[in-house]
Amino acid sequence: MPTTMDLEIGMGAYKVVRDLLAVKKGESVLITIDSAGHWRMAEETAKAAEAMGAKVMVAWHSTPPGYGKVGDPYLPDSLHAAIPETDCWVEYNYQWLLYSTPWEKALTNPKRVRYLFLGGLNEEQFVRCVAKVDLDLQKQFQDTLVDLTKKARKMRITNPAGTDVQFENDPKRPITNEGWALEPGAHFLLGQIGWAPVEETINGVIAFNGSFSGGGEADLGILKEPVLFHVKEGVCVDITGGEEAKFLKGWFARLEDPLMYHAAHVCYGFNPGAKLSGLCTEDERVWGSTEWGFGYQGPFFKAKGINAKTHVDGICLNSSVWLDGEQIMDQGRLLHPKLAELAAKIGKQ
Amino acid sequence: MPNTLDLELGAVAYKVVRDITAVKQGESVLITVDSAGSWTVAEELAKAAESLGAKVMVAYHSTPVGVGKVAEPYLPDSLKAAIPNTDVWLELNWQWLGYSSPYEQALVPPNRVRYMCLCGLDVERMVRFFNVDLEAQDAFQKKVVELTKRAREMHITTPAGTDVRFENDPRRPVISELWCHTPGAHFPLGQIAWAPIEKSINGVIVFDGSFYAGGPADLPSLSEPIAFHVREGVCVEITGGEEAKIARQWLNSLNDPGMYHEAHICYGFNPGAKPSGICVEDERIWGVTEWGFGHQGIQFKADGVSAVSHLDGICLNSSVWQDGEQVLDRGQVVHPELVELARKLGK
Repeated sequence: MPTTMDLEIGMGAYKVVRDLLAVKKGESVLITIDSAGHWRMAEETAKAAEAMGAKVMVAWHSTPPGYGKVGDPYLPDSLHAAIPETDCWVEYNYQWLLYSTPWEKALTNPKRVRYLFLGGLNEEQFVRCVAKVDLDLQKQFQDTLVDLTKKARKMRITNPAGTDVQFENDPKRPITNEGWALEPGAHFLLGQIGWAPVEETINGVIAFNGSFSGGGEADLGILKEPVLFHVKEGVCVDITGGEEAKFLKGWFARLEDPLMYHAAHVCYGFNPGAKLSGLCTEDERVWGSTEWGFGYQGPFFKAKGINAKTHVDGICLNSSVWLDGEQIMDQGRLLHPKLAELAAKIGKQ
Repeated sequence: MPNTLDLELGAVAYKVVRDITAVKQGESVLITVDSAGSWTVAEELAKAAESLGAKVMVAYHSTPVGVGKVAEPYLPDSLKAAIPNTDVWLELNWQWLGYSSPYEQALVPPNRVRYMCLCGLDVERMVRFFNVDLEAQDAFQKKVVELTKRAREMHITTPAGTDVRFENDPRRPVISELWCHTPGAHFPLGQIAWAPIEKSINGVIVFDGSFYAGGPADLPSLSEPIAFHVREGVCVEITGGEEAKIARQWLNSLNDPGMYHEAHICYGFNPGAKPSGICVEDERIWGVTEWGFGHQGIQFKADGVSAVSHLDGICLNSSVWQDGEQVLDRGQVVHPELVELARKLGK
């Protein structure tokens, strides 16, 4: 008997396997999902991969108490061993394995593994953020924005909550264009464009007014009041705001890792289905948001390679963005003519 | 919403993980289950291991087209890497991975991995197999082992026509399957196995339960008995009806004289097992004897017959004499030292 959104989930899973990962016959496909994750997507993705002739394995496992390396001691040894030995890896974990030791083994200098991160998505989020997305239009939109950003050197971002931050881009560093996992390396859910600015040039205030995600007890979800990171030359020198800011200040101090204060990356959020939900994977893709990561810096950014204990992400909703003085976005609404036209076709203008 | 036998399954899963496998806090536990196996059982075992503080992973994967080494090209690479890297491996696969390369990497020689074969067990079979008083079962199996080790001259008959005699070598082990407390391969409770002195085996072995030789000769429910005529440990003739013909043709097609060599004998003494069409259950039916021909496992420390494959056949309602003293009469325990122990198991 069908259950809610069975057809949509089946279709989304097929999209993941056929279009986003381009799984080929005979490839090994690993799907990881912890016990706090949502099983239906893992099962449907396995079915789709099986239908494409892949050799499929779903690793359903104990949920570690935090993200990344924090989870390392809690992962079964079989999982450590399984992760680097596959052609494709789809991650549906709630407490994600991204940046953990087995992840690094698989994806630092990636030679084989095509990794697609879909961490924590529930059925509804999966349908909104994957199944319902028009992949052709989305690709045109993302490619256009990536091209514009690549050309820009000086950037400024503001938002109504008090963000006002400026920085410079290094044209040699890549700008990731997320959604497709067609070559070895780390790839993420549709609608995110990320890069690492020149760290020392980042100055100003970043006001998180969407949600904040740091794993374990620092997974704050949707914020009650803005949390302000005061950044000087790429390093957070103060955290201000209300109760949540106070908690985070203490949490950062307890980690006893100065590298956790370093800005690691900035991203645009442009997934047409994403809504603020408290789940980082979705929140950081809310249309028109920007997102900042602090702490561990993924190797794919080809930047300084900050090797911190873990990684946190915060969301700035309704961002305004200037590229070399030209405003392309105003409080989340696209101003650049080509982007505005594509956004209208996607239904987001 | 509960499903049928949910509580029973929860209880036996806990028993398998806590008592039989003795999973300890912080250990890595791998449960493998192919898509033809029982996910429900895998999930309950995972819950039990999680509640004991283990680090648990269930590997649910594509079903290979065959068993053992035949399966290898069909296994995802992650699975091959996962298997040797664990403290405990519970295998629920329908197309089992035993004797595949990752299995050999994990278990030959045994070093770390405690492997428990639960291949093909679904919810009902799990409940039947393990809803047993483990202490009483242990006492019973220990006594059977003791009596068997002591015996030299053996005689087995069945109502279907089995009449076979052989000698035991006291230096060879009598393997009693129940616990999975040490590194190595372990199997569900209620099987006691050994390799008799091969050349001493003479007579007729009549399989009237089931017969598993792989391929077209997997014959889970025999309509007529298959008789193996054995001379000095080698099957020299196969007689019977249509199924005997299938068995004969299959063995002939394997083109390996080693396949006709007797490899081991087992007693079946699982109080819950009943004829169900899978080898792992049929060979444990209370009061059966089971004979293997072909490849002989190293655990038997015997002649080490090497063959391309292995077959198992079940003789129901066996009567057994050890040095002239009757132990079993048509599947009923009659030896005075065993009767009371069997009664405690409801048998």
